[in-house]
Amino acid sequence: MSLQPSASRRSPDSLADVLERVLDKGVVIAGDIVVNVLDIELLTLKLRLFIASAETAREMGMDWWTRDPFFSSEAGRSVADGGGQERQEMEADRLRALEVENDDLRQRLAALESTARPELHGAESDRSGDPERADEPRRTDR
Amino acid sequence: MTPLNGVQGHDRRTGPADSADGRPASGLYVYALVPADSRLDLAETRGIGDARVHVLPHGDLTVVVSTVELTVLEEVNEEDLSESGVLATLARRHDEVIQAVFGQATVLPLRFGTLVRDRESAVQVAEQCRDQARDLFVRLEGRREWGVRLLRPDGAGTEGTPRVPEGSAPAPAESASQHPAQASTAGSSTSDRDHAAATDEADSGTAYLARRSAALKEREARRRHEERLVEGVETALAGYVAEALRRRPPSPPLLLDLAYLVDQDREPEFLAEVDEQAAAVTAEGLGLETTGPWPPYTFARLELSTSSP
Repeated sequence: MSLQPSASRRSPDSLADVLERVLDKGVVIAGDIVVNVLDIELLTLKLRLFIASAETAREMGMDWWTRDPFFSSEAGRSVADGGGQERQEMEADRLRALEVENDDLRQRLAALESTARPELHGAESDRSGDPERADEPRRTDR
Repeated sequence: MTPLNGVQGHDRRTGPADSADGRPASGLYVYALVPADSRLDLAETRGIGDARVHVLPHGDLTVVVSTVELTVLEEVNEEDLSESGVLATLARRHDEVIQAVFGQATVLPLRFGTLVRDRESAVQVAEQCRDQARDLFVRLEGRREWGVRLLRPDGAGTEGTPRVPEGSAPAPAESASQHPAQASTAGSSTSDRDHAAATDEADSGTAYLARRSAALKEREARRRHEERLVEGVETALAGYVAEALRRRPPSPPLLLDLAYLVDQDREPEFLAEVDEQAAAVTAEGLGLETTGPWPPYTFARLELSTSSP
C-alpha cells in the first residue's frame, strides 16, 4: 500500500488516530452541493468530548490516558497512599484545564446545535432530481 | 449526549427525496481528489457499503467516488465508538480507500462523510477545488504524514522527586487534629522543637510546609525539564521534514502531538532521528510514539464553499 514498502508502519493505527484524522482533517466542502446527512462538525465536537473520558480512550487504543493516575483509579490509589502532594496538584491543574476545555466545547456545541443546523440544511430543500449514477464512469472534459 | 440520529429527522425532511418506489435515493460518496494524470487501479478496492470505487476525471483533477445510499451515514451513533461500531467501520473503510489511492498517487483526502447527489455535483467539486488543489498537490507530492507523540508515562512525573516516607504524609483530617499540639510547641525554643522533631514533629505544619515547598520547586523544575525535552525533539526533527503542524495543544500526560510531512527520500533519515530521539527521551523517563505513514490528512487543509450553478 505504501509507495516505499521499506518504511514500515510504526504502530497500528488506533481507532482514535483514524477518527481524529478522517473526521477532523482533510478537504472540507461546504455549500449546497454537499448532502448533509451527518453533521460532521457536531460529531467531531462530540467525539472530542467523548475521547476526554478514560474508558472511551482505553477502548479506542489511546492507552496513554490510562497510564495516568488522573484517569486510572489503579494508579490513583498509589498517589493517595504515598501522599504525593505535587502529583495531586498537577491532577487538579489538569482537571481544571479539562473542565475549561469541556465548557468551551459544550458552548460551541450548543451554538452549533442552535444556529448552524438550519443554515446547513436549509439550502437543500430546493435541490431535487434524479441522482445520476456513477456506475459507468465516463470521461468528462472540461 | 444526544445521539445524532435524534436530530436527523430534520435532514430527512429537507434532504433528498426518496425515490418513487420508496427506496432511499442514492448519491456519491467523495473520498479524494487526485491529479488527473494519476494512474489509479482501484479494481480491488471497495468503498463504503462495499461499493466499487470509481474515478471521475474533470480537467486536471480526478474525483474518487463510490455510489452510496444517501442514508448510509444515518446509522452513525457517536455513543458507539467500539471497533465494531458503525462509525468505526465507516471511518476505517474511508481510510482504506484513501490509503489505496495514496499508494498510487498524490492524494487530497476529503473529510469523512462528504456526500454529493450526483456526478454533476462531484465534477463541480473538482471544478471549484481546481486552483487550490493544484497548489496543494505541489506541496504534498512525494511526501507522507507521520505522527509523533511525546508523553509522560505513569510514574515518570515522580521520578527523582524526594518521596515522603510511607505513612508519614498527614491526611487532611490528621493535620487538623494535630493543630492544637502544634500551636503549643510553636512558642517553645528552637532546641525544644529539635527534640520533638525526632518523633511526632516530622508531621508538624513546619515540616509539612517545607516538604510542600520542596515538592513545588521540584514540580516546577520537572516542568521546565520536560519543556526542554519537548523543544529538543521538535528542533531535532525539524531538520528532516517539509512541514510540521501541532495536532492539538499539549495536555499532560500528552506533552507533544505533532504531524510531520516528510519527503519520502528523507524518511530513512527522519525515522533514524525519531529513533534516536525516542531513546533519548526514554532515558529521561518520557515516551515517544510514532504513527504512520499516513496520507496527508492533517496537511490537506482546504475549506471550500461551493454553490450550485
